[in-house]
Amino acid sequence: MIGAAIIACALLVAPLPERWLIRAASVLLMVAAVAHIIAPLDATLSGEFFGFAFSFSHYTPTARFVGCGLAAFGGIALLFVLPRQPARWLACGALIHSGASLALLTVSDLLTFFVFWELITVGAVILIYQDQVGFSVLRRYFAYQMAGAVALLVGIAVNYGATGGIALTDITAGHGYFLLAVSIKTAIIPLHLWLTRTYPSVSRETVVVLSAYATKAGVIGVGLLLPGAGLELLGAAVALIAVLYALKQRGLREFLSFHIISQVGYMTAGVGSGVPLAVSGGYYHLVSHILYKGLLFMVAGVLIDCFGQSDMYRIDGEGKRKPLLMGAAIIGSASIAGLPPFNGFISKSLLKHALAGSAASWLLIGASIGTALSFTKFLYLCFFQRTGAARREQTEPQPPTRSVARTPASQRSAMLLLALGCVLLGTLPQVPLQRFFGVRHAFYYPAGIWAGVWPVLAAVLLFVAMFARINAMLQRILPESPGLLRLTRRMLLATAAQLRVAHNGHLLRYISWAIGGLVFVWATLLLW
Amino acid sequence: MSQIPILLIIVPLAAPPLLFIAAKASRFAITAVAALIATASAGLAIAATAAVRQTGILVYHVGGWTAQQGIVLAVDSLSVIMLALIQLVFLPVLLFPSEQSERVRRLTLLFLLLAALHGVVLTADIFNMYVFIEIGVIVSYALLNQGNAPDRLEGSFKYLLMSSLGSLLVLLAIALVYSASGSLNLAYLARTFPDAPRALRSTVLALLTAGFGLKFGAVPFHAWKPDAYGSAPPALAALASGVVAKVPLYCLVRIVSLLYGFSAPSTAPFLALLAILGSASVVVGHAMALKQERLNRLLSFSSVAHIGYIMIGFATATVVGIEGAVFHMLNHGILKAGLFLVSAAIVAHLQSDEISRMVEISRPMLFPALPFALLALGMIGIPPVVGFVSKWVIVLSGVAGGLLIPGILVALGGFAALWYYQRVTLTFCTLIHDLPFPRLFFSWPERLPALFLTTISVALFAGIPWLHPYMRRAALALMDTGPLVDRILFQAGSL
Repeated sequence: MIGAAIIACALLVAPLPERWLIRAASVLLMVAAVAHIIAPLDATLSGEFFGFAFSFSHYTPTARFVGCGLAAFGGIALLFVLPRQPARWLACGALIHSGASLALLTVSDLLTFFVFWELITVGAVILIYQDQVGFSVLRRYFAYQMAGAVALLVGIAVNYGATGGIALTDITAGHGYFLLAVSIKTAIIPLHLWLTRTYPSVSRETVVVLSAYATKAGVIGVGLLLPGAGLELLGAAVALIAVLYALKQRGLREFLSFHIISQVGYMTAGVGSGVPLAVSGGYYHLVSHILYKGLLFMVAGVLIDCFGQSDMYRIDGEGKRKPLLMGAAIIGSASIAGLPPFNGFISKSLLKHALAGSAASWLLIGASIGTALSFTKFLYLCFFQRTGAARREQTEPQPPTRSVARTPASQRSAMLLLALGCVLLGTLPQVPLQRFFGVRHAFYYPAGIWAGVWPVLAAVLLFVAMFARINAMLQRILPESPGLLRLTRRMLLATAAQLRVAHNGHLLRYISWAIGGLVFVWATLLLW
Repeated sequence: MSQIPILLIIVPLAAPPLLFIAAKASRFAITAVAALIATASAGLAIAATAAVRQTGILVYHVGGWTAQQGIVLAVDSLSVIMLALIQLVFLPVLLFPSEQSERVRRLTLLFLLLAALHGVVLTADIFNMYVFIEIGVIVSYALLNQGNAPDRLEGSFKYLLMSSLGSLLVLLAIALVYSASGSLNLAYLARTFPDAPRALRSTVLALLTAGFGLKFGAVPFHAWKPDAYGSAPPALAALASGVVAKVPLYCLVRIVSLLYGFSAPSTAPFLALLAILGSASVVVGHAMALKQERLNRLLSFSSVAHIGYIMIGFATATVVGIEGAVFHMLNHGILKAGLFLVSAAIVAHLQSDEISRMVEISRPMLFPALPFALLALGMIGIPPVVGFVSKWVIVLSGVAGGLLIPGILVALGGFAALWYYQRVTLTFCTLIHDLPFPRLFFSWPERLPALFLTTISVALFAGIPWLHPYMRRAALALMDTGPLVDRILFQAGSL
């Protein structure tokens, strides 16, 4: 309900003057976040839409926690966007995008699920369009999402054929189609190009908004459409493979994009496993991830802003000239690497504990080491490396060092808030876990802390000892993505070309088709 | 109240002489007459809707003759939806500006077409239906081939020829029906024709399917469509693809429901054929639209695909599926007419509908980019516009009714449609600020028709809870024809 209200507001406030709009939008999202916690707006609504019963149900406590995270992050992200000049459509798109994701949390039938699933795409398309980054990006994003929507629609139809209804609680068929739909939405590796080619191309502010919602909607979709489907192995495999891809990236945002896929793999493993503790861990990881990944994208944006480089190897350790930024980067990296006492540690401990002993847990440990390794690389290249090291290796002349621009206050406060969130969710996990998940779990005891620390230590050792060799190997063995869209396009156009040759405009040919059609129809009806 | 059906035919027929007189007086008089008659027709359609909602079925016996002897006009819940579609598309097309010298001719023909379409939808006499269809074909031909452009002459000639071939097949079917049952009244035939020999019934059904198929343009009978609509003046193509192509499909399902029965087991082969031809239309229409260089041809091929959607909806022969099909007729009529009217405004300025040239209209965002994008979203089937609803219903009922592959094709159709509409929309939206073209200004008469239909398409989405009962009643009217037959046959004395 809150989500639907936010979408309605997006349309109402779109004509307002710009700066006001962003303020209004971020306030609105913050209010929504608060409302999610105390839930006075938790109204139910049901009705009939063209003969299909639909309803918004009550929040489950878990959904309330996730909704709070999604909405609060939306508000903070818009705070980061605020200094940007033309932002009317950005705020409008952000409201639709985030509102639709929030609405997904309370749907209880497949019709409203489908509608909001599509509206997430509509919001994202507005966001990408207003960036004017070139239409090939927009086209790819839209096409992948549409393919997912087709799969979802067919799945819903198959399930409707089997059960005669569209209730979310009553899913007995069409799992294959649902799996395809959520695989596209969570950007599982061969279907990931919509993410890794879009996020690095859009503007530094837009990507902060985009990074939070679409893939998380996929995870929510896993929870609603495929509960207990045993996806832990798939999710863990995605987490590991995506980390390997992330390791070989040079671009800051490409690197972070692959890490989204990897972290979403953790969530899929948790939410899709059906083990109650792992499901809780998956949703906790969802909110944690929104916070630290948003923070990291903000750091990346500021780095690119200040140093004019999106290639990590060329930032050349200059980040250390901005100590606060460095602090934010360290907090974000520590969170994503699962180092105590940050939020990633909590959710990853839950997941590993719940899935302990299975093959998935080993894959997840591998993924943890990979994550820590790649963020060691990030911190080293951007912040700790001795300035000038990279420059000496390159032959072309570099621009002289400029004075570093001051980051606007709104952006600094946005990063501060997110960093605070990472620390709070890491140090006081019992409060939300007991209130929203009903889970009691100890984290801070020696063996538990060691479980969080050793992958990072191993990663640092690996980095120091043999990173160059690992990097070279990854560059060699990991195949480039196959470009499924281009293949589909080529196939479709080949069919179309054949058909175009057939439609040559000759009347006699057309009449002979008609007569052939008549004979076919007649024969079918006579001989059936 | 009981005069409404005949008035719906007579009132538009009064337009040509009145327009002729008005043309002698002043330009304002022409506008006044056109507005007056269009309003009267819309008012009558609304009155018919209200009456049908109140009393169920509205019957008018022309000349007071009984059903066996004379012609009966009947309005039921399905005809009401067709009437609504006709009015909704007619008004904006009338509004669209045309050249002053052609104005009277165009208006005259348009009102003749309106009368013919009303006649087809209302009549309960199969031969009378044929006569009105023929009037419609000839008037459409005259409308589509205005001007001397060679491709326009060729396209409209193809339309005339293929459509006449269709009429021939339909006439043959009517002759066979008459020879078997000795009557032309549909209600009377509903009683007697089921006793005819099976071979004859199958032959009649084949002739009707192919004959009407040639007129509504399903694959493999579709080939005239892009040539005719693609070359015609886009404002008139809006009418032709939005409404004129839907009416033969209405005739086919109406006749099948009365003479064969949608839920009868013997109709199964026909339903399978509808699904097969519908799937073929979806594939061919969408695939051909992918690489078109000209907007109007693209829109025409998309029409072929959407006729396929509607056929698949009918092929389910369930109440839900038919609801979806009827609703998609309405939606597609509105959306496609809107798209053609946007194209008409563009063509009025660029003198061309080549997509590559549309960069030249890049700057005015509010028109044509926004209405086009919204209407295209509807055609693709994305929520804020109403096309989504009917696509959803058709896919769900299709798959549930055992038509898995046609259902998947309809769902995939949205993917293909996204592809080609995106290409066009993004061409409008190229925001290059120093293009070497003069800025175009679209006048309000050019904008209003498309904006009107865009508004309707968004409003319909909001009005679904209110609309759904109408679709439900229309579907029930097709599934169970008993009430209609009874009303037509046993009302003779009441006049």
